[in-house]
Amino acid sequence: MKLPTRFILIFGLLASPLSNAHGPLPPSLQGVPIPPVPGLVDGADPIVVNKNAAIALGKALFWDVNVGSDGMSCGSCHFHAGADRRTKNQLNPGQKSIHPGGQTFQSTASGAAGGPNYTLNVDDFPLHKYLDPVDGTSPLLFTSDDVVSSSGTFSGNFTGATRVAGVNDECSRNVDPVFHVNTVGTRRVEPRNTPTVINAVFNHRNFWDGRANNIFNGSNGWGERDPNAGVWVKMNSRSVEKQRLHLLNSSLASQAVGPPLSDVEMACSQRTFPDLGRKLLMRRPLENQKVHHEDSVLGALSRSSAGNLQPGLNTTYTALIRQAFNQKYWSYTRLGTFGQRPGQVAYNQMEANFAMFFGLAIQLYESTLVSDQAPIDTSARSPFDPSDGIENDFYPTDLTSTERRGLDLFLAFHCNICHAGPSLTSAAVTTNAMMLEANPDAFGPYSLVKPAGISRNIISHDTTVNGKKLMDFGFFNTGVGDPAADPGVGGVDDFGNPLSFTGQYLQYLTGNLPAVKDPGVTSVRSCNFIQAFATNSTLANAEIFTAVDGIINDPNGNQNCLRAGGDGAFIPTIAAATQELANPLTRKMDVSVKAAFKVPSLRNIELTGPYMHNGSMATLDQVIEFYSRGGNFVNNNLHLFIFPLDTLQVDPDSRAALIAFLKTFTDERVRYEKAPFDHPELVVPNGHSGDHLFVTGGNPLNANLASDEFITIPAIGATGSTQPLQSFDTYLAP
Amino acid sequence: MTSFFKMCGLMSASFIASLVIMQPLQAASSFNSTSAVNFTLTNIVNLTNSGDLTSLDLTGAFSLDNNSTITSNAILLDYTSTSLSNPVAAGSSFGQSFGASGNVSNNNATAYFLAARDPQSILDPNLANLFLRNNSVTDSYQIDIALDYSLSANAGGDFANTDISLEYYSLNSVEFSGFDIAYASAFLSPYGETRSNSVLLSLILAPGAIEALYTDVTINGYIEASASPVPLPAAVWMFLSALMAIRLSMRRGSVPSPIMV
Repeated sequence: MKLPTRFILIFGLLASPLSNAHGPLPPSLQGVPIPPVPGLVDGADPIVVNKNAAIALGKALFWDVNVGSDGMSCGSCHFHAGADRRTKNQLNPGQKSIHPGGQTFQSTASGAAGGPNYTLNVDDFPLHKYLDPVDGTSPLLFTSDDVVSSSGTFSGNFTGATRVAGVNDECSRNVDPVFHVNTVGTRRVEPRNTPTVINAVFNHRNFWDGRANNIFNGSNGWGERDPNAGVWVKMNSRSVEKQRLHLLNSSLASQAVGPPLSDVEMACSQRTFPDLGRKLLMRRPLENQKVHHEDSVLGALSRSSAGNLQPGLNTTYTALIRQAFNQKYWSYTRLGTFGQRPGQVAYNQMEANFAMFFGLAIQLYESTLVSDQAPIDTSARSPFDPSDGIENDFYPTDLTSTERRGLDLFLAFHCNICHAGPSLTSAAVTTNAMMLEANPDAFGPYSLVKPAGISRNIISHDTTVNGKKLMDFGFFNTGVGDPAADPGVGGVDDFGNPLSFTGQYLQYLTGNLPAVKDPGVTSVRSCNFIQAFATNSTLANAEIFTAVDGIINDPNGNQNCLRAGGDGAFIPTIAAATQELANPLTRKMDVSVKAAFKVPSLRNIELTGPYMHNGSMATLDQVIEFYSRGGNFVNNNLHLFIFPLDTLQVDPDSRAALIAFLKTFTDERVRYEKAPFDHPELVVPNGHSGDHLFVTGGNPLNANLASDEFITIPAIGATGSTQPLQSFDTYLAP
Repeated sequence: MTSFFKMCGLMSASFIASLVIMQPLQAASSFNSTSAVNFTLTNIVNLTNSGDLTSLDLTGAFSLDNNSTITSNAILLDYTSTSLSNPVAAGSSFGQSFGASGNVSNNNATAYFLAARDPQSILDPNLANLFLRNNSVTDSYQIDIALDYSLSANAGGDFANTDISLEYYSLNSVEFSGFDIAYASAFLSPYGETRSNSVLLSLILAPGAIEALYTDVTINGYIEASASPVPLPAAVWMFLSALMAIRLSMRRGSVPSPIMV
């Protein structure tokens, strides 16, 4: 889109009644309810019968390196404020790209060869670098489709695992064709930056592309999309049935069951959850990892005492599962129903249901990781006082003048539209909607909040540089990377369905209901869209449906809408939608999902670098410079709010103030690893002996694999560490 | 004096030998799971014709599942049972005692799955542990039954994991339904668990009616021992070294006897 047209659109947007406002103010996270999960711990026959035991089980599983095939745990990538601060062997060549170049590493911005086992330094960032960082029209000095992420497993083909001692699975392992230095294999690296698990419980979906479904099916992360998913339920002593599981607001469980079977993150390929259960169930949790005697969850189970930290818990995974879960999921004593690996004893019911135990236990543990004691949370708020205008109501009053200036800029430049609500992301759909339903002024004066379009809608109709488009709410294209480098929520699942809700909504509009897989799509209310999608006008319109095209009343109603008077409570007829969808140049059914990613939380952002889905920015300065210059890649799906910001471009003090404000989201308990952010000891693979030009083989797993180097994260108890966590750039080589 | 030291040396040698024998040179693991299940007919009453029990058929028996899998001859089974048949009086009882134990050392592993129960997937009244039939066309009976059980699981050594569970259920009495389990692991002190209970059922058997009560006892176990030798305690080494010193001093002045180790 030409620049003048874009300016007209932006001006028009800012001038319209819906946008003549500063949107939601960041509220406190204190007292914000976890989205309910009916049937998990409540009801007549709950799945979890002892929540504390389930949380202990979840924390043990999260940190236990026995979960991985070769020493990886969930915590191995989520140990630093819930994210990853490692700097060695952290490069992926950009394997989400459609271009062949996504399989090959590029040189780094500092001029090094990069690639496997490379140690990142400060000059390697950002990965898209301009001569003037705040001027996107200045010469481009460097760009790369490589991704800064997290190293995981050597992988291989799974053949078995012992039930007793031995961290590593039995796999046939070879040198990876991409991840190697010369002829020596290195650990694989994920193709997207690791997000933090802290406060992730508020996300409606998880992963950058939203594929960790809001519904947990007990087997994997695909929710209702997988027709074969289910859990084994004992009916009586002689019969057991596989039943569908449908747990709402359980995206954390959906996410948790992904990495343990990923042949990039944690596992040898072809390993299943029953295999993992067989490996773990009889073991002592954290058997080789010290557990602090004052661990806020595991301390009572630890074998440690003051001055004498010991590894392992005084229990087994079997015992914890039996304490935590309803016996109908583990007490069936007969074999033969649950399958088996050739040549091995048949799986029992507990092994068969291990994915469910794993996912839900980790969900319950991660649900305790809520950082609600940051300055933004503890600050007093200015009162609601209509007499002096509403523009100053509900402001945090304990901020410094610099931080307050940063907040003003945060609002003025509409950062708050995407980073909305207590967890600072519009991807927290249910949480944000519930808060406003309970109290319309929860984010400040409601009349100022409405333009952000916060409702139960998982889809919105909003404005991009190329006009109005349907998009997943909380998933936006901000021009971080080349759209061809990573499709984001515009990708497809393992069954060929679009990952996006938007893609399914198009099918709903055309009457193809079998193509709608996820709940919530058919209950979208068009009267809550930020921009009208269809109106009852007798005039033709190039961008939206009108009566000329054929419209009907939205069956989801026109009451209590964000758009005044139920304006826009219409959808196209099936015929009109079908006709428009068949038009390759359609504007009315146009979508913005390609290279759109989940809006990350800004909580503890000071500590969770690198930033963006591709880890291309190391510091908050680089992030603000990115927004100051209007992004990196202008493309047809770029959200309209991404454009050069004059004030930030010319005034470094303004950028500094904005960063100061962002630091008010840091909870000191996270910084010092105090409860609930304390944890067992963890030995994390951190690159290999040597560098990116030469590595030493002879790994005990296979002589052709590189020897590991490690960092040891000590066991921390509830009172935390004396050493604070630092920002990511602190760990980069100079 | 030389004889005394000689005797001390022999005694010490024997003592050392006994220590070695008592202290195995390889690791070991063991488990032991036992159960006792007993039915007692505490009360039998003809509600229509007092004292007439002739139309009531009662049989009680237990059996071991022939489909059990035992994968190692390191497992020892212990199974006994008693039975009951007509005529049956109030106070009659019958039951079973079922247990298994195992011990392995020196890099052996064994896993097993045992059951004392009806292996069929459907309820066959003829294979129930307690079968009751009212042959009368006019009389009703009240039968009060107590099911007493005890489950015990113990584990120890390098790596041992065992559980013993009981499931009880019936053909028609939905209230007679339950599950209990005792579990033990070498990683879970106090390394043993015992559970017991008494379940009461009061039946009204109408004319022509039948009832069947079932119990399933299942034992799982897995034991494994590494090949690593268990080190002798430090005190023993100190004693040995002291003894060697004595033996050496004896050699200077006498003909020594060899130390048997």
